[in-house]
Amino acid sequence: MRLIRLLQSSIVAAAVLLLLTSYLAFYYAPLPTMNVRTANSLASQLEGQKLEVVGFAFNITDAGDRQDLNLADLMDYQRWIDFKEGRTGPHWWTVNPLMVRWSIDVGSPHAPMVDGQNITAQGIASGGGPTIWNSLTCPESGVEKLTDVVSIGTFSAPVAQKIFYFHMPAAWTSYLAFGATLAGSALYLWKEEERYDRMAGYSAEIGLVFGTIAIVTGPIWAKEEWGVYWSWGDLKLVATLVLWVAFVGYLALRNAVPDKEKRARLSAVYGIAAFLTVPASLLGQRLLPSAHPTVIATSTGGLSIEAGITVVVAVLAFTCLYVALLAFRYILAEGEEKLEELKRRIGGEI
Amino acid sequence: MTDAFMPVYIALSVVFLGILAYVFYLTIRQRRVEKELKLLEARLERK
Repeated sequence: MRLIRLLQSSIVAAAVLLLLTSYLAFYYAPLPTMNVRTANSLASQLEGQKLEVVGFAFNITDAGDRQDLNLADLMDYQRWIDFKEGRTGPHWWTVNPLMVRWSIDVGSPHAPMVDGQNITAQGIASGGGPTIWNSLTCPESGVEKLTDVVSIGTFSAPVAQKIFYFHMPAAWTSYLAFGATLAGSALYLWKEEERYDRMAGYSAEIGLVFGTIAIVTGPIWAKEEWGVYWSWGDLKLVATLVLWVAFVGYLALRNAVPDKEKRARLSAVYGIAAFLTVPASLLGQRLLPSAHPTVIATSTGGLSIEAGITVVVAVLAFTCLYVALLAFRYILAEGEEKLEELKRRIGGEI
Repeated sequence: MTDAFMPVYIALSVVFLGILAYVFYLTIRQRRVEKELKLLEARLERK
């Protein structure tokens, strides 16, 4: 009875919060831009950094329309990946790399430049808002100053960023569920009580549902923002896939061992080992260069207040959904146990 | 504008269909359990 009441209340809460999330994501949260504080912070980090030319983008608009440039569409994706993977100064990685876009304006009097040239950021001025226009020097080519060559803070697909309000909470809920699996597994090994084993198993099942949602919605957004669905060189992405596979293995293991006690012990040990992939997935973009955004960023975090509120509501909605599904799973398990008990009784009587 | 929103709609469909698919799977299992329980209880009563 308590489970049914929990199920009912969490379903109502999840439904209301999901509707609110949808409303906020579409009508309240603005399209992503970078705030002035972040822009200034980025500008100061770029000051004096060596940048290497790895790709060109033609400026197809006049100077007044430059904020509308879709640079990712114009640049070769692989070159951009090369650019991100270690050719630039370390300070680049203290900011969200998704928000860093740059181009060489071949229409300027000093262009064209060639790949591999070093240019130095100098006298950076923040224009505020989503775009910073820098001044760069390029001594090798004898160019004293290039203006308007670096663009920061533009999203190549700002509308697709709305996927974030569902993708990130799904990922968070899967981490939460796998955390419950870890706790259940550890408690089972310690106290050897069946209820902990159950909690671990049910939670892993639900975690996998949310993990699958996160792993499918991520590439849909990536295709729009990066131009490709997947990048095998990205630790964050690969670690999340490994995490997903590890917990598919966990459920397979639970189904493969018929003996209850043996299953509980084996899956508890495996569950703890599988959880080791969670920190790698959670912190992947901080450990190695990654195109994946860092949500809970430090001083350079780019979420606006409206986006932050939307994310919080979405996380609450998905957490309520997790509680509802867990309650439903427990109710089902109660029925299944009752059924097994009845079968035993009838078998005994026959 | 509609084209730009298309990936968002696809992703939203994945979210809701994913959750609904799991709920559907649990519901089917629950119904099967309830059905079997009824049958067995009736059988037990007859004895």
